[in-house]
Amino acid sequence: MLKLITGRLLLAVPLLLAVTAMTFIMFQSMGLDPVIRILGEGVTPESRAALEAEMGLDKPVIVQYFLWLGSALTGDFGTSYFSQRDVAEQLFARLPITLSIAFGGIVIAVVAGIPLGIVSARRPGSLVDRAVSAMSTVVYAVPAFWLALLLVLAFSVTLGWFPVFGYTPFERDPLGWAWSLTLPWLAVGLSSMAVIARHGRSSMIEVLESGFVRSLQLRGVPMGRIVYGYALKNSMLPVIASIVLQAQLAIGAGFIIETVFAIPGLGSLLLDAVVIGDLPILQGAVLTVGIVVVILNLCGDIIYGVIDPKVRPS
Amino acid sequence: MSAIIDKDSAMDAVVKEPTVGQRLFKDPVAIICLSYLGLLVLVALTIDLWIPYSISEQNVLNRLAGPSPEHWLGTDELGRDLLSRALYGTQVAVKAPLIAVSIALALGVTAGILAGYFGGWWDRIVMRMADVLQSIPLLLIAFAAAGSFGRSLTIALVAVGIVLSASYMRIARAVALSISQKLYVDSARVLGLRSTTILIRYVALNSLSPLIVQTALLVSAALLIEASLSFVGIGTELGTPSWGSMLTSASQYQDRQILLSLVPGILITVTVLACNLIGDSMRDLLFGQRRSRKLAKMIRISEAARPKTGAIQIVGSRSEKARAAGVATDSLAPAPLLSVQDLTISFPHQDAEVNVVSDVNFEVEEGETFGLVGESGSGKSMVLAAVMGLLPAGGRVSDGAVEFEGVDHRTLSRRQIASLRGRQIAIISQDPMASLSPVHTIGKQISETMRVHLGYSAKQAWEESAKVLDLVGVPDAKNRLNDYPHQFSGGMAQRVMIAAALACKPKILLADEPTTALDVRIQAQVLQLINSLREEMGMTLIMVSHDLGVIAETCERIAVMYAGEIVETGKTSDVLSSPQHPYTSALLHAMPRNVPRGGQLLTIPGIVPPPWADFSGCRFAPRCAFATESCTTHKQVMINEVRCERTQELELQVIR
Repeated sequence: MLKLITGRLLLAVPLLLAVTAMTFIMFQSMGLDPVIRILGEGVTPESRAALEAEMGLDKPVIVQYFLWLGSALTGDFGTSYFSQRDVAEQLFARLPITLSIAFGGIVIAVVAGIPLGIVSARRPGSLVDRAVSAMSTVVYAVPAFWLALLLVLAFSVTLGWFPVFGYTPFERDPLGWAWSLTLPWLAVGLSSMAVIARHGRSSMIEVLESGFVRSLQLRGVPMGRIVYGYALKNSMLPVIASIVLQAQLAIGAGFIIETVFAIPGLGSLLLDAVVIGDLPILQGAVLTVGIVVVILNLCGDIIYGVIDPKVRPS
Repeated sequence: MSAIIDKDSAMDAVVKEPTVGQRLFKDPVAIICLSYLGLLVLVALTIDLWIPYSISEQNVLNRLAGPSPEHWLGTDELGRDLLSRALYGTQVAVKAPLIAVSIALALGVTAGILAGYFGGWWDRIVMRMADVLQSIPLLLIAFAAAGSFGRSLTIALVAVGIVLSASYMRIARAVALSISQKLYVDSARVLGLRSTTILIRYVALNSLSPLIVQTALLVSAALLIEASLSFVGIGTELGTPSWGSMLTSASQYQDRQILLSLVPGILITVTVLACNLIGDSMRDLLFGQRRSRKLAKMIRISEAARPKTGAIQIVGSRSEKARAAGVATDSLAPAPLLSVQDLTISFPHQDAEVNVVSDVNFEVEEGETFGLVGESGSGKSMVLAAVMGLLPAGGRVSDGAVEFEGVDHRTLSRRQIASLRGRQIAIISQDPMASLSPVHTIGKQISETMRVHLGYSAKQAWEESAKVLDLVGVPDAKNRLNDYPHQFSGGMAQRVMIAAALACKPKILLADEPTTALDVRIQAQVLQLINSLREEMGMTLIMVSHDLGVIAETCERIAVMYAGEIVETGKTSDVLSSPQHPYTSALLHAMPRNVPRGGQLLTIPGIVPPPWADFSGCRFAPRCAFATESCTTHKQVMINEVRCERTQELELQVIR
C-alpha cells in the first residue's frame, strides 16, 4: 500500500511540473504585458526596466518558470499585479470554501446516487429503474448554475427557507455555515448524483450476474443480505474512479456556483483575476488546484486498495 | 490490377457490419434528437433573414413584460424581445461546440493514432499528455486561458478543445493499437499499401463509431462550458447574446419575470440532453447495453410463473408435511428424501418456450449416492438448479414436480425454498473461484449460511467455520479464514466451497462437476474428500458429471441424460457392465480407460441437439449407429429403465 502511494506521488510530480510549466509558458508567451498591467500605459522606459529587473521579466521564460517554481515550493506564490497582496494568502483563504462546496456536493451525490443505483439495479427494467434512469438523464443535462438559480428562486426568494446569498464562516456558526451552503451543495451535487447512480446501477447489475451471487443464493442467503453484504462492496470498485472524477468536476462547477450565491471562494477570486489579467493568481491557482486533484486521485487509489485485497499487500 | 481488388476486399473486412450510423436512424429517440439539433443549426444559419426583432432593439417602457402578441415570450429587463434573443442564442450554441470539438477532434485523433500505431516513445509522450490535460479542472484551464487573453471566450474554447482532445486521444489510440495488430493491416502491408494509406483508410474508419459517440458527449460538454463561461461574463465576442449570458441577467430579474430564466435554461438543458441521448443510443448500439433490459423482461416472466406467497407453512413431522403438500398420508412407504417427477424445464427462445429438460424422473433415498451423467447441454445441471428451486433467469418448471421430504417445491414460498437451500440441500459447483466474492474473506463467506440458517452470532459462526474448514482439509484453517479467495489455489478454493456447503450439515449434497475445473492431480483428492465426508456425515449425494469414471467411483445408482431426457437408469454396476441404451454404450466406448492400449478411441459423431431442435423421434437417433427408420419417427418412452425401442434386439458390448 505504502509502495502504491509513493509510486502515485512520484508520478504526480512530473504531472504537476508539466501542468504548471504549460500554463506558465502560455501566460508568458501569449499573455498581456504585466508592466502595463501594473504601471499603466504611460510607463517610462526607466521604470519599465526597473520593474522588469525586479520581477525577473528580463530573464528567459524557462528561468522565470524555475524562479517561480522555486519560490512556490517554499509557499511563496508571488504578489498580485493589482492588489499587491500575497497570492498564497489569498488562495489559501478561499480554497477551503470552494472545496467545502465541491465536496459537500459530492457527499450528497454519493449518499443519494448509490442507493438509487442499487434500487434500479435490483429490478432492471422496472418502473422504478426507468424512472431513476430518466431522471438521471435529465438532471445530468441541467447546467448546475441554472439549477442554482432555480433553487434560489424556489427555496430562498419564494419560500424563504434559505438565505438568498452570502456565506457564513464555519468558525463563526457551524449550523449557519451548513445553512448557507445547502443550496450550493444541491446545485453542485445533483448532476454528479445522476452520474454516480448510473455507474452504480450498471456496475451492480454486472456484479449481480456474477457467480458468487448465485453461489450465495444457492446457499439460501436472502437477496437483501447478498446485495448489501457482498455485492455492494464489489460493485463499488469501478464507481470509485467515477466519484473521484465527479469530485474533480465539482471543483470547477463550484467556481461558477459561488458567483450565484456571492460566496467568497476561489471562483470569485479567479474571475476577478481573469477580468484584470492577474497572472500570479491564476498561476498559483493552477498549481494549488492541481495539487488538490493529485491528492483526490490518491484518495481514490487508497480507497480502492482498502476495498480490493489484491491491491493490498498481505 | 489484382492488387487493387485485394485492397478492396481487405476494405470489406473492415466495414462489413452495418455502421452505427445506419442503425441509429432506426431509433426514434435518436431521430428526434438529431432533428432537433438539425433545426438548431438551421435557425443559427438563417436567423438574420427572418428575425422579428433585432437583438439590440430596446423599449424600456415595456421591460420585463409577459407574453403578448408582439412578444410571444415577453421582454427582458431592457424591453428586448426574449424570443428573438433566445433564437439568436443558437448561433453561439452552434459556434462554441464547433470551435472546441473540432480542435479536440483534430488534435486528439492525430495524436492518438500516432501513439497507437507507432507505440514506443510516441505512445508514452501522448499518454502522459492526456494525463496532464485531464488532471486540472477544465473550467480552471478555461479561466486561465481567458485571463491571459483579455476575457476572450474564443481563446477559452480553444483551450477547452485542447483539454477535451485527451479523451479522443485515448479512443483513437486504443482503436489504432488493436487494429495495427490485426491481420488485415498486416495483409495490407504485404500488399504494398503505404503506411499512411493504411492509417487513414482502416484505422480512421474503424474508430469512427466510438469517436462519434464521444463527439456527441463532448459537444454537450462544450456547450455547458460555454454557458458557464458566458454566465460569469467571460467573453461575448462570438455574437450576442448567448443562452449563458442571458441567464446572467435572469439571476437578477427572474423573480419578476420567470421566463427570463426558464427560456435559456430549458434551451441549454434540452440541447445538452439531445446530444447525450444521441451518444447514449449510439453507445447502446455499439456495446449492446440493451441486453439488461431484455434480461429484465425474462426475469419478470419467470417470476410470473412462480406462486407469489406460500399458502402452506412448513410444519414439523414428515406426515404433516406430506399432508400439507397434498400427498396421501395413509401409504405406509416412507416418502423418498428427494423425488423428481416428470420434471420439465423451459426457457424462452425466440418468442416461444423450449424445453431444456423433459420428463425427468428419479428418486433418491436417504444416504444414497446417485449420479447424473451426460454431455454438456444434456440438461443435467438444470435438473440440479430445479432441485435447488433456483433456475437461471428466464427458466421455469413448466411441468412436473420436485419433492423434498415429501413436500412439493410448488407449495412453498420463495422464502421457504430459500430456507432449504444451504440448510437441507447444498450444492457445490464447477468453478470455485467464480463462486467466491473476491473482496470478502473466506471466513465471512463460510460463516454466512450459519448466520442465516442457524442464527449464529458472527463470532460463533466464525469459530464453527474454522472447524469446518479444518474438516475439509485446509491446513492452518483458523488463520486462513482471514484470507481472500485470490490467496487460494483452485483445489483449496474448492475445499472452501465444500466447507461453505457443508457448514449447516445439509441432508443432501449436490455436486455439479465438482472436479472439472481442477488440475487432474487435485481431482482425485477432492473426489475422495467428498466421498469420505459423505460417509462421515451420512449425507445423501447427487453427483453430476460428464465423466463416467467419476460417477462410477462415487455413485451406487446412475441416470444417463441425453438432450434433456434420461435415456437409461439403474444400478451403476449394471449400467456400466451391460448398457441397454446405445448412447450409454457409446459413452463407455468413448472413455479412454475402456480402450485397450493401442486400440482406437471411439468418439460419438455429431453434437447434442439444441433444445429447439425437432424432437419427433428418438433424440439420439441422428447420432446412433443402430437407428432405424422407426427410431426417427417414433417418440421414445422409458420402458424398464431404458428409453430405446430396439434395446431387446441389440447386443451392446463393453470392451473390458
